[in-house]
Amino acid sequence: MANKKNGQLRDIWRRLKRNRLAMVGLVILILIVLVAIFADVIAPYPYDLQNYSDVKQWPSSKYIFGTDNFGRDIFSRVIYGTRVSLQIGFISLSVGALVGSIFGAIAGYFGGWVDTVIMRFTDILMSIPKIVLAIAIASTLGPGLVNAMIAVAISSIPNFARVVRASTLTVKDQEYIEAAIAIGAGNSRVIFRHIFPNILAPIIVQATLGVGVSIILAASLSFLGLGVEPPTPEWGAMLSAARTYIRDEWYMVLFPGLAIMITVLALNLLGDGLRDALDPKLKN
Amino acid sequence: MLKFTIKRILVAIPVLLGVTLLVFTMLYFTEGDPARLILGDTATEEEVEALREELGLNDSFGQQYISYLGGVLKGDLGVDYITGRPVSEEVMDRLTTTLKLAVASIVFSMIVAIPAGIISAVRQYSAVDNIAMVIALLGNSMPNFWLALMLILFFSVFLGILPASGLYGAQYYIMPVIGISAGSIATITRMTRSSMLEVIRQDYIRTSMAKGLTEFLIIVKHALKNALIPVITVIGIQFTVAVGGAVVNEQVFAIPGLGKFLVDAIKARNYQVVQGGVLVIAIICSIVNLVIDLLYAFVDPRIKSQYQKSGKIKRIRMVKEEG
Repeated sequence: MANKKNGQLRDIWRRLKRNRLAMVGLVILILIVLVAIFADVIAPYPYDLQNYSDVKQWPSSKYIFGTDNFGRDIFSRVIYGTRVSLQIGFISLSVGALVGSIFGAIAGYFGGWVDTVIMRFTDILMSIPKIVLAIAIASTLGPGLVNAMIAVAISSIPNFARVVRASTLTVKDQEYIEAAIAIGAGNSRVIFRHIFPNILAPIIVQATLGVGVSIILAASLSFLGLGVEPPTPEWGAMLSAARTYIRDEWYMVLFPGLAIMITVLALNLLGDGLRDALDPKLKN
Repeated sequence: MLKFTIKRILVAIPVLLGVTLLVFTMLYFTEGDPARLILGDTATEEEVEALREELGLNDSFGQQYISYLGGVLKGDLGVDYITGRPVSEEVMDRLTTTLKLAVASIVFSMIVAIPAGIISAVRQYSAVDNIAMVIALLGNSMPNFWLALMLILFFSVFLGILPASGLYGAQYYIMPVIGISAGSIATITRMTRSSMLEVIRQDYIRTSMAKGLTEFLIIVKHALKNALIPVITVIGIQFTVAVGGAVVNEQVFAIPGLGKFLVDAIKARNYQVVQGGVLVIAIICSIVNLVIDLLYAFVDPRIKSQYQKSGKIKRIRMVKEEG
């Protein structure tokens, strides 16, 4: 059994390795994660160090990305921002994925009124644009890092619930599920031990692509002033503060945006590659 | 088809009711006392309490929700605590601007993305296909508000050819629409490409080619009709995305739409306005998705035949029973 699983993983890895774009995404992502981990070592200055003699300095050898209106080094803030944005993206997505997947599996497995209630609830969440839903949640909870994560997590629940429900429906009538029920396995055991391991592929793909969406959603919230608050170096909050200076110090709006784009691009490339590797039938 | 339409409308009703409950619940639990907000810090506790009683804020959650729902059904979304105007009027004043932006973005996305997706599929792995896919990847990866800022930088600051804020004429739409639609263009291009690739590998396309029809005729007359069916559902979802995009981009371009109104209301803790704004956006998105679903069922012969078939089977059974 273990050998079979290892064999499957090896096959997936082999297919993924053949996809050059996915490998580029993976390498960029590993570098970004390393930047987040070693931010203290890489950043030349503390993210909140205000140097009033060097306010609004253009990029130079002393300040690679220049300085902002408080004289803070933008490069250091972008580096520390990697930590904040990845944290928001991964934590909120994990919570959203967990809750959404459980709801989706319950809906698909039990069917009937349970399915109707859960799916109508996801319809309700999906009828509101993600950013408007996140704005409404953030306005209820107030601004801040944790509240932004909660808002983003809740917004990502319906996508996972739908994907997992659809996958559960395809496996729940399989013979191995019937066999598990026949030997007396309880509902929670069937869902967590037999259904989940067999529907992991779509969850992984959805999660990889979802982290990028979560990072953009959190950045949008902060950009609107409803997410992470200053002086935390979150990329969206940095863009929000910098847009006033777009006419004369446009470098301030360039680098945080590039950081978001490169991170999300890496996640999208990897997500697309994983989808093809996990289900080659989907590939055109 | 009538059965499908009725069924789909019946499903939409609890969803819309659920939206009202969700929006009401979220704002009900928001910190802050509306009565104190109206009267200000100088009011005495007795005055605040009297106003709370008058506004029904001391009623139970259920009573308040029923009263709110009753108002919503009559088009009454409450009163703006700051201006004293009905929220429905304030929302309607700004809704048109947001909807114009969202609709213009969706139309622009379709004009760009559908031909791009078709060309990508027909010339799969060519330079055009690769460029389109790279642009689509970038479009899906950048936040729309940052793209909007970059457009301002290039077209307003560097070239000075487009206005950076407001919405006073056609040229004011160019940058917000590009900013809002970038993600949708990416998604619709990819969807059209993959749907088109699936269709052009079908036997009936090969038959058309064997009959000697031109490539243009095969694509426009035979392939496109079927390839666009799944694209329709994506357009419905993209409308919701475009409304969300408009909400954020209104902030970038200082456009006095519903999005800017909402964000300003949250900052002013004007929650009655937030409640009304979110509810109206949700209702409009639900209705658009309902229409798209009905349209999808109308153009997709598989759904149509499914319902026609069940009617036919029923008729056959009835005839058998009668016989």
